[in-house]
Amino acid sequence: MLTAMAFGRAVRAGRSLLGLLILLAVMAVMDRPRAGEPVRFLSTQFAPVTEAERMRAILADFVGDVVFQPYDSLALVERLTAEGEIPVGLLAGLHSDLAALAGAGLLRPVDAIAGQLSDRAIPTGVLDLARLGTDTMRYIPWIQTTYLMVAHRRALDYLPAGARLDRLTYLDLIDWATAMHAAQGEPRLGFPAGPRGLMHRFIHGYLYPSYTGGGITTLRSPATLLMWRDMRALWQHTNVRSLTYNSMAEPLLAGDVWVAWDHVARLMPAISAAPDDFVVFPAPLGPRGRGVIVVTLGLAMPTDASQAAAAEALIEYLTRPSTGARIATQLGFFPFDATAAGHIEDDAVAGMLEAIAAQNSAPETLIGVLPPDLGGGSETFGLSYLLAFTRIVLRGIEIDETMTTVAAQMADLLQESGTPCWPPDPVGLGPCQVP
Amino acid sequence: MPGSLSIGRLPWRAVAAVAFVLLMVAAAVAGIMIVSAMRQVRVELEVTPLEQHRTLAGVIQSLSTLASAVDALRIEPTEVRRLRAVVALDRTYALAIDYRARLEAEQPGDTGSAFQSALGPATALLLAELAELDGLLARLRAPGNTQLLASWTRLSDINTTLTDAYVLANTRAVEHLDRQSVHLERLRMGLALVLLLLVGMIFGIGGLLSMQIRTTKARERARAELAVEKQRVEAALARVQATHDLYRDIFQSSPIIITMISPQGRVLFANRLAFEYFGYSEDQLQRLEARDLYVRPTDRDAIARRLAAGETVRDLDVDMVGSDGGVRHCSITFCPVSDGESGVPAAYYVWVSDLTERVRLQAEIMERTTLLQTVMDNAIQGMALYDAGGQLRAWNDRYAAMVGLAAVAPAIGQPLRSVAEALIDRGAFATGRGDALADAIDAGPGGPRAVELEADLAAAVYDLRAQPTPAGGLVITGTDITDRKAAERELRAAKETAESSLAELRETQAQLVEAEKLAALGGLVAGVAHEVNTPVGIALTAASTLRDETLGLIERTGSGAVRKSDVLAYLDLAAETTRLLQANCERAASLIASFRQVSVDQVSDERRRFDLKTYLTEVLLSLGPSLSKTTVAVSVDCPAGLELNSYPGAFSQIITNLVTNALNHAFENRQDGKIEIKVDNLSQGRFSLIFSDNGVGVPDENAPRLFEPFFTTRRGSGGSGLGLHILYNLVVGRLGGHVSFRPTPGGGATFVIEAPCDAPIGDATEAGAGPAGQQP
Repeated sequence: MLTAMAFGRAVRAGRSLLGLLILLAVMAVMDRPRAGEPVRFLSTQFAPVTEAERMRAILADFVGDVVFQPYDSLALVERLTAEGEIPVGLLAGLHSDLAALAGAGLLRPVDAIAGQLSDRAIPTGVLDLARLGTDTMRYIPWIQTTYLMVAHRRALDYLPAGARLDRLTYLDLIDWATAMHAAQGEPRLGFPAGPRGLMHRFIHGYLYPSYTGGGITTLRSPATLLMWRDMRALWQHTNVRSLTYNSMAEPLLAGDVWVAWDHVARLMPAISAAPDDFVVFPAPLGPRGRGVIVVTLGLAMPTDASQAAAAEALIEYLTRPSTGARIATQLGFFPFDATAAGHIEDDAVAGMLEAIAAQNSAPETLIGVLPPDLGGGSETFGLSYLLAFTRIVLRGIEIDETMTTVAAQMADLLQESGTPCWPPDPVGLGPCQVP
Repeated sequence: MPGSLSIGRLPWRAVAAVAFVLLMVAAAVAGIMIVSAMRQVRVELEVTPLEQHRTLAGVIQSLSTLASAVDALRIEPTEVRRLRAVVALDRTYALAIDYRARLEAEQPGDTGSAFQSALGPATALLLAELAELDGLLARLRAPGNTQLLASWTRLSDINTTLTDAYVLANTRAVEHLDRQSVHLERLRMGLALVLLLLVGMIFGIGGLLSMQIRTTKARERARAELAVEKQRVEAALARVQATHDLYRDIFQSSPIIITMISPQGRVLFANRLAFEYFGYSEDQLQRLEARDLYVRPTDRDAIARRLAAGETVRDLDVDMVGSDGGVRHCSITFCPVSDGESGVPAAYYVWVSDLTERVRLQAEIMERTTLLQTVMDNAIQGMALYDAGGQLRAWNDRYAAMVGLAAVAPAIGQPLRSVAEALIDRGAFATGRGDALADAIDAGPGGPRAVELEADLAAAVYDLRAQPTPAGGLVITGTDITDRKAAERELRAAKETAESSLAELRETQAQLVEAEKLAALGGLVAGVAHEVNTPVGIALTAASTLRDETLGLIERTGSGAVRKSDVLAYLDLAAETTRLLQANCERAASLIASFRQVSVDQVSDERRRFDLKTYLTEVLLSLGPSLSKTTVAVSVDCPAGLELNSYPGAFSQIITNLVTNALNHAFENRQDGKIEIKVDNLSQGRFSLIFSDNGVGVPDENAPRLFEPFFTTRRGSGGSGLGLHILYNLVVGRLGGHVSFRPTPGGGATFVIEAPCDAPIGDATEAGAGPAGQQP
């Protein structure tokens, strides 16, 4: 279920963003809504019926009336046409969604609200992202998801001496995988490198920033040579069937893989099934730090929101640790505040929250975000990194030769879309430049 | 080596031990080798095909993806689709390389041959095709559908081939796995048999050895146990013997006669008491039959029948006879002794208890009970005996009649409480008194239950008493006191009458005493008048004479006829007459003073100090008129300075009465009467006054009654009979002393008065209640 959610979010995010832009544009020219009406809360996430109902159940404890509406662009446009006006008090969307709206001038600053929520333990890097390259915050980082490492406890017997899970380096990971391979006769490290796996996220959001400090602007650099060589070494002790794994939960439970990397939602089935057998830990550290992708779901208020007071109260309610605990348990998105773990009865969920907080809040963590909508080039973007992986690591083709090809493709793509760089690359104006 | 094992005694033990050890080692080594081989086979069976199949499955899966990507690219050759195809190709290539490596890693002749023959070529073909496709995709810049189609077609064929080979290999692998499993199972069974054989041999040899060791140990242990057992048996025997001795002593010293007789009645043995009781020796007793000991043949026959019928003979009272022919009252109990098999008694224990004393006591009790009943029946009182539970146990007819017991049946067991309540309801008791009886009943054994009360039952009055018995019961007695109550009533009435009369008498006495006092006072007044009249008369005569002579002189002087001799004669007369006047006036004054004090004292109860001698003189002086009429001489012998703190009035009355009494009774027709009053100052603050006369005395029969009121021998002569009674009361009651009478030696009467010098304040006794006729 969580696996489907992750894919659904990514797909719907792009489709819903356009509709949301239309919605806000219509709102901007419409009369103000009548006072006293419930707060209308739109979200680009939690569209499936079960997820929406769970969110509505969580919102039922809010003091005030809230109407939760998962956003479907086509449906909302038809509604707008039929009714004429729909007041929106609060918006929830991915960073990329909200970035687009902010870029269109449709979101109001929320610095004052953020100041009142200073106890929510939101990492500084995430707060900076919420500024969307401006001087003011355009959304309140609400909940997050990310990608983590997980290991079966029997793999810990082969952990290199002196290595710590919370500060594991890629070299430690290579040694660890080597030890397990030698002892077991089969590699026990795994990656979701299958056709529908998220290996491209690992290459772009974790491996590249950890070695080069960026994902695009450092596509070709001396650091990338080291990176690819370490990756080749790591792959020597990686289970080759990872090329068929779309999700790591089943291989972990089957015991084919003892150590894996994957999306939180895709790891959850294994951890929930055997919480005592697995331990989650942050992604490895590279020479430049720990590159991670934080999929942030933020709360934003439209510029012309007529339900500001109620929306502010709703923001306060949604960002409470107790509310975050319920969301983490029922919807798979986790609050930034690790203290919410005290409100979570499920040990697996609580452990995941603590690991996420530990990874994403660590000072050496380089926070990146999912690629924005690149139009038709979104899949090409991901395939470019996969191609680099398969050519360099699987086929053993020359690194520089491969990266030259890949960089050319990436440059064409970004140039064509005109997309500025996004974290972990420095955010700037104009199309992101590929070296 | 354990215990006393000595392996060196028999060579085969050593050989067996060595063989045992070698077999153990061989078994261990064989086991390790077998287990290792089994693991290896299992690994080969499980790991090799499983991992290879997985890898092959991955190859096939990836190949399918690649084929789809190639086909999509063929249909629409976009860059994205090309990238997808390239990535899919790279995946497939990596998987195929890995699979080829696994195939090449298989040992020839093993299971790998099946895989190699089926899949090797296919894999090689795949790799070749992938290489070609790779070059094709790299060169793809324009729609190359035909080449891609051909490539896709070949990839599909390879996929099919691989899939078929996979299925075939899988099937063969499964078959091989089954064969290997069977082989493994056979191997396992064989190994198990071998191991079993080895283990059997090991255990056999080991068992022999251990058995030998155990046998030796067992032998030693048995020996030790035997010794322990022997000790235990000996100890048990000793205990048995001790127990036997104990029981024998108990048997012999039992206070109960115990014998054992055969079913035929022959005495088998008996304890010492039996011999003593019946007066037979052991030998004699054993020659007797039990029947010989019974007085009545019917007793023995009845017992025999009951025993024969299997009945229990227990505590049967019979009369038995001893060697002396004396009858003994006994209680016998038969206890059969079974032979343990048929259940038929092999003998009987006979317990004989002597009842002679008990019979005697019973007879005695019966006699006493009869006697008690007879006593009760003949008692004039109603009697009843209640036990500790308040139940009636014995009574007599009078009790029954008293409480109406005859109307209640049965009487035996009737609770006392019901009797008490019936009596209370009938109002037999005075208010609240009935509760006392109920409380006594409720107090129970040990409580205070003695009760005395009267029950008025209309027809009679009873004195009911309840006394506890030592057994905790109550004995109720009821005495008819009707007559006594009537007599008490009469006596009470008579008493009241007497008391009333006595009160009147005392009042009269008081009045008479008062009259006597007044009379005495009157006498005193008369005496005073008489005494004072003389000096007053003389004074008056002298005064008259002086007056006459003075008038004459005046007359003569007036007439001028007075002479010097007249004047001188007048002066002589005046001097004499004035002297007489003065003397007699002084005398009269003195008398009056004395009499006044006496009279005041007589009528006054004032207690004061006075000189006894002086006061006696004054009292006697007041009695002068009475004394002057007689020739009685009164002498007073009283020490000077004896001062009393007493009642002079009483004293005056006492002396007056004594003198008057003596004058009236002692000196009739006597000319030499003497009265002597002697006072002595006794020790301890007391004095005595003895008044004696030499008169006619008092007859003996009158002496005891002198101080009785109204006792006089001169009733017809005006005597009141109260003088000495008043004297007695004054001495005893006022002066706090005592007075007694005794005859004067030589005739006459003597009264002895003894009293304290300091009289008690107030009356020492009740006035007028002097005893009658007290003598010292």
